[in-house]
Amino acid sequence: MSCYRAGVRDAASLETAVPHPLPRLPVPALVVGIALACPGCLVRVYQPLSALHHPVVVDPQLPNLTDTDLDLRCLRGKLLSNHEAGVLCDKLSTLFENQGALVRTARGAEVPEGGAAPPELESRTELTVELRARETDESKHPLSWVLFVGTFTLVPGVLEQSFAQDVVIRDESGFLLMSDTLEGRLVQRYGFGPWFGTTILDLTRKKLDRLGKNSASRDLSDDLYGQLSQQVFNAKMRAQVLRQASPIGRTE
Amino acid sequence: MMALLAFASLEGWAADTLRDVQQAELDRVRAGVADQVHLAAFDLVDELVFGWTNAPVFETPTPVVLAGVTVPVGLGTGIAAMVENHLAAVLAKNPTTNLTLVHCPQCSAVVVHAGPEATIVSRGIDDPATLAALGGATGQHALFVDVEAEGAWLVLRARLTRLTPELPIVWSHTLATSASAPALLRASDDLKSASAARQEYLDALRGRGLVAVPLRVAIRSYDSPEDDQGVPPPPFLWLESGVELSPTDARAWTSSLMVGYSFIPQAYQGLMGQARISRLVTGRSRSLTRPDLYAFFGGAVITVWGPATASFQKPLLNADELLLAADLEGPRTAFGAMQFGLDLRLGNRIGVSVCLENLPDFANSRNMGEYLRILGIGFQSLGTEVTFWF
Amino acid sequence: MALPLESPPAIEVLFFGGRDPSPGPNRPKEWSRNLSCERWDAVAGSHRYPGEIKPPPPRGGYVERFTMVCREPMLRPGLRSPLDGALLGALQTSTVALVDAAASLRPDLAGSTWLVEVFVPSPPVAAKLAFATKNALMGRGLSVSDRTPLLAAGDVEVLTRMPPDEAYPAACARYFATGSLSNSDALLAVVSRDPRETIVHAGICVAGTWTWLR
Repeated sequence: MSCYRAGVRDAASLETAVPHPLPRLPVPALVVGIALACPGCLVRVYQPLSALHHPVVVDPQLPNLTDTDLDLRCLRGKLLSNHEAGVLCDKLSTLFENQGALVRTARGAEVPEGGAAPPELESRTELTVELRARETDESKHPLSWVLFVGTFTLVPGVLEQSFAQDVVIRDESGFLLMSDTLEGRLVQRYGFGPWFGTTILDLTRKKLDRLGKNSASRDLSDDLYGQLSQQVFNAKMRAQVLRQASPIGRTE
Repeated sequence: MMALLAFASLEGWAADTLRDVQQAELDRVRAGVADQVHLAAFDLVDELVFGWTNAPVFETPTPVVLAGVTVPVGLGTGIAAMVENHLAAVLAKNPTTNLTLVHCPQCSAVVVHAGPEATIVSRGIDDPATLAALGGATGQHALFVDVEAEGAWLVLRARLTRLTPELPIVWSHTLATSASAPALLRASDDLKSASAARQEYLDALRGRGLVAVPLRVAIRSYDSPEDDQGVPPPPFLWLESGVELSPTDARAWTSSLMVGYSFIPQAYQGLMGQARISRLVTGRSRSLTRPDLYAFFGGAVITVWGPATASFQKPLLNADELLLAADLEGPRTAFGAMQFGLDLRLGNRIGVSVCLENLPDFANSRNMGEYLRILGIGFQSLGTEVTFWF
Repeated sequence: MALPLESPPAIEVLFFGGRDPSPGPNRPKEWSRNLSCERWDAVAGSHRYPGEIKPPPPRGGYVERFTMVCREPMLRPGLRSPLDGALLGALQTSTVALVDAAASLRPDLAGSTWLVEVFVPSPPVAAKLAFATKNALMGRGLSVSDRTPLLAAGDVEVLTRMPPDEAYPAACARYFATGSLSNSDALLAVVSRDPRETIVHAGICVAGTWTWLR
């Protein structure tokens, strides 16, 4: 467990400080060989499925969480390695610190099999945010890869993955304040055809509507960080109300 | 894959702000959305009233004030007026709901009640005591309807409140429909359940093929000559079938090609080829629920033979000639006909039609007269038909 | 709680290889973002949407088939503020949850007459929340009144200057003291305490005593 003091840090500088790992691509060796011939020929698109695109009111650039003690737990599992969970926690720590929170991060705890609760913390702060990522579906679309090879990558080979980000927020007594599941989908289209078509079409699109380059990660980040900021703020407000409630209001 | 998050930028938080120059575009979009939403809202209103017809809230007709209709936030008040008008129209056409809308101007007006304790400013409907003092609708009921868009759902909420000082809510209901559910478009005076409306819709779709096969039974009768000296042909019974084509699903225009056969033992036989073009005259597209009336124009080529067909001769026949024809196989005659008529159809399944035929070959025949003469064209034959479409 | 479905769900079934709802050459990102989708395999999907999603062949198929069931929002984004959109998008679920909490935490009030007051920034949204909450209370079989408890203008002036933590209990006491609420009344207040939150809280005022529920 590491501990950070609150303070506004430069998100851009943090991004350049972290190296980009190679993406994990569970594709057949043949496809990898062909893809290597056109290494940049990949179009990755992101689609929010549920909850990730709900309206966000809170502005994450403002001090919404001033003097709020926050425990952040990023649980590793099949979808997130220990390193990835740690980097995600670092990012979110910066996000909440920029909003004025005092953040403690706990990384590396493993998601138990069968969806059981993770190990309890020895002590809790005002708010405890638990994040666990799950892969809900994965498809390799074998027919698309046959066409991909047969058309010399003009027809895209498609890989797709659906994921769920479970968010659980508790107060200092362990009382459940909020829980939600944010679901999304990432579709990767390999090949010269989709890459060229997307690149050309992006020239005619507005910046926010473009699909090429890293727009998928940017959009996913915007959605996820926005939703988490909103959820934590909502939890903070609910905790304030429940502190004034009589004991009957805390029997959930 | 979630590692994407870890390495993505935290930038790009600037929320899209509404600029002034976008206001006009926003208003246009609002109008467009309202157009799309109002059908779904009408559907919910129909469902609400249909529920009342099946299970009335009140056992006897009860006066009700339509206290308020609110619509999705962001769509303006135009759609509110449409929903309110539709609700009033559907209620008026369905008296079995036992809800009788009454006019109560004091109910919606702002009233001021000054008493020894306080001065209260409110709508009349929120202050029944003041309403009673104004001679308003004490003891009646107020109907509140709210329609709201909740994600992919359009939700209608309704409640009935008794206008007594305690304002108790006596009934409430919530209905929802999905954005992807097509509007059922029920007729307001023929409400039916959603499942029945859907079945009707599916039936209509199934019966909406561009090609149909008609089977027609027709009777042609021929007018007697005016001087009663000739002998008109006997009525002909035809059995016809063929194909009917419609260029569009609206079936505003249809055309048909049919062949017919006529046979009465020891009297006559006949063959006919016929083509018609029909035009819908009751609306721009055929109705799913009501009969449609078509006007048609067509032509036919007919050949008849047999002992009873001697009258299809231009010369005047006498008794000897008729007897001679009866002894032999009889004459064979071919002639053309122009048809004009009206066709009344129900659901494109059954129909009855009446037509007048002009037979140019027998314009001056002494064996048949003319039922009608218009613009110099005489109609010697009158046909009545019953058609079934498959 | 699921919304009551009074009409059959005519869903847009999107088969992979056919109409993929993800952004693409002919599918703008904005259109795709507006959809709320669920991914179903053939077995579960055919049970959930019989007749619309085909079950898998009895002996299995060569390719595993998935179906995306997507629903478009009733209103396009941008027609109302994010706060209004958030509160109204969850109107049914949030009000039913509040009423469930109130009814389960205060079963002793089952015989009371329930009144509803809503305190959120937007008056139209407040009216919607009040309507939905009253219907939810009626759905629980409770006795509900359309009556609005009243306060004198002087009371309102004082209360609006107080911080929220003090204003609601004080208002509750005044309601009871002025006779606007009687012993047989229970006032369920739906409150937004901060314009940045997308949830609403609930409190109950009974016999002049204010209690926050959630």
